[in-house]
Amino acid sequence: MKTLLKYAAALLAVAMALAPIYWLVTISLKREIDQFASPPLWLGFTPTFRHYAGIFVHDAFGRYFLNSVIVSTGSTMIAIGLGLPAAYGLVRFRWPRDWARGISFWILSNRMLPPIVTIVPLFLMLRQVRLLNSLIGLILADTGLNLPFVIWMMRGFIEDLPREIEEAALLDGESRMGVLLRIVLPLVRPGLAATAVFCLIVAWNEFLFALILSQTQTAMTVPVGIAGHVTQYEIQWGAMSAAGVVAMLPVLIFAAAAQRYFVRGLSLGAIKG
Amino acid sequence: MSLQVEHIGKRFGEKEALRGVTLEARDGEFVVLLGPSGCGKSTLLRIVAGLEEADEGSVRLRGRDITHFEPRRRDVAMVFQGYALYPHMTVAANIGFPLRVRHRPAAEISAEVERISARLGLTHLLRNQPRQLSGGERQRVALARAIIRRPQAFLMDEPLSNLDSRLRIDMRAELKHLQHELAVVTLYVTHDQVEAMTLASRIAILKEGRLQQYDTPSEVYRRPANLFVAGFVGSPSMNLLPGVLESGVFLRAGLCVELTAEQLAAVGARREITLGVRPEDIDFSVISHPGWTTARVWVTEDLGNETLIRLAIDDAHVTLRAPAGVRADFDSPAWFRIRRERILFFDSHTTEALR
Repeated sequence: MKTLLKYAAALLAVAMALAPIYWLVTISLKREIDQFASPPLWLGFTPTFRHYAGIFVHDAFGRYFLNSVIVSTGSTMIAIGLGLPAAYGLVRFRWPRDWARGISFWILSNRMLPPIVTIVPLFLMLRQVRLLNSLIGLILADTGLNLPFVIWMMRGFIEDLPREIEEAALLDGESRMGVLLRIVLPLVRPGLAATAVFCLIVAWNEFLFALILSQTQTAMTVPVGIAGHVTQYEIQWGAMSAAGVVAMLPVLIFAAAAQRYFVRGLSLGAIKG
Repeated sequence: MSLQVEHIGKRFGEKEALRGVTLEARDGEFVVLLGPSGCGKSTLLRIVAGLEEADEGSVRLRGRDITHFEPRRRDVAMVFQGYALYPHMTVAANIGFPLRVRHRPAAEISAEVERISARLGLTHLLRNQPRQLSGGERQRVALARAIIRRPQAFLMDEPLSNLDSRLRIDMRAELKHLQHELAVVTLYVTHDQVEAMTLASRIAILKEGRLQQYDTPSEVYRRPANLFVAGFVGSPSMNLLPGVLESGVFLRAGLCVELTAEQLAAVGARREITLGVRPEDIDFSVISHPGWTTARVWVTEDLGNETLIRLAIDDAHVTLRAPAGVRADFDSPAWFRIRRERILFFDSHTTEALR
């Protein structure tokens, strides 16, 4: 009886999580006439791929998709590349008094700032260096968003490594950089993978910077492209849903691919091994 | 001189970890740093390794001043208490790591790994991951990794303390023989005085960051420099009885001992002195002899090959070694005699040995 209740509760939770996704997918496959049928058509409708064809043919959605891929992977790679050494330095180097703590909190405070506060200065700075409407400008903006997160996550993972292992490597002949690349990096890989997936998802879903910093199609990303279907005169539900489904896929793939690391990464350090 | 440590001082904030520590070691010597936890022995080792920087003083290895060298430039190898194996590498990769870092040819690395692992009985484990090994095996891998590149000095930080006691005794003997074979100067940190006595060619005893005595195990045992060393080295430890000197006789409640001329000369005009005597330098009897001191048996411990007897004299205890089979009941009367010529005297105030 108890198990039954447990399963019922779990089922309910799953249904609540999946219902919007189900609705999104069915809308993207329905003709306009079926989209607002009352009572709603749960299953009995004639599927059409018109909306999918439409977003790629009429809307340059392929372009947005490519832009999103470039911006999110680019900013994630830069954030990891800068964040890992920064975290290592903060954890392992000798700092005067508690500077390491102070610097860490300053870094975190950058992340706590609502992004909209930074948008005007960011806009002006990027205009000055002619990076508005460019992928590089967006990559830089998103890196700023992700870097504090990477540093804080990696700080925790590095702190959990036994110091002796790194000291052994130093005495065996490694430089500090060698220790970071050949000892620390392999050992924090699960944590790093989980962190990278978080960064990818944040950058993939990022809307505000993408909307304001790229006014043309050159650097327009998927979320901005989707929002473009809400126009002054109509809301293109079919096209928007189709775009939403396509936008969702990479996130699902990231999460599935990194799931193994996710659990390990998040619980890394919980048990000393 | 192979390794010279001179006037090393180190502070951690308010706390003084080391002060004016000077010692030197000859080629192939096995030097043990001994002391209770927090005495600075590990800090001294880490300063020699380059993992900590001394505030003052210098470290020289084979004539090179390495005080400010990075660890990797010092050409020393270290074995850690927790072994510090690289968890993401196989045993073979762990052992070969120091050579790989030095970009030696792969053929040479695998040949050396073969040779060293055969020497330490690790050949069948080469493909394993460190987490699949037992404590003793991990210890061997750590040793193999340290010796593969023939460093100019070995540094060992309590390498045996994570092993169970039987394995520890075996590894101790093996380590001593290995060190003799390699003939490389070794600095070894431990808080276990038996380990220090058995391994060392010389023992450096530290207390609160200061060097107390630096000498061979037998000298440290027979002629401790002060009360701390006397009490720390030896098991069971030396009996230390504070008392006073009155006209050539050491007096305390329940005990009086006449000093030899030599001892009197050493003690001089001091009045408050402490008598020190090893448990094996006391004779024991259950019947009365003329000139022997009387006491009460507090406890006896039969070790099979000998018996340890603890006597109560007034408010103090005296431990002595008696032959196997000696029996005495709790609280029964007993007699003992301290061998006069083996007694050491210490200044009760400065704690220095008087000789």
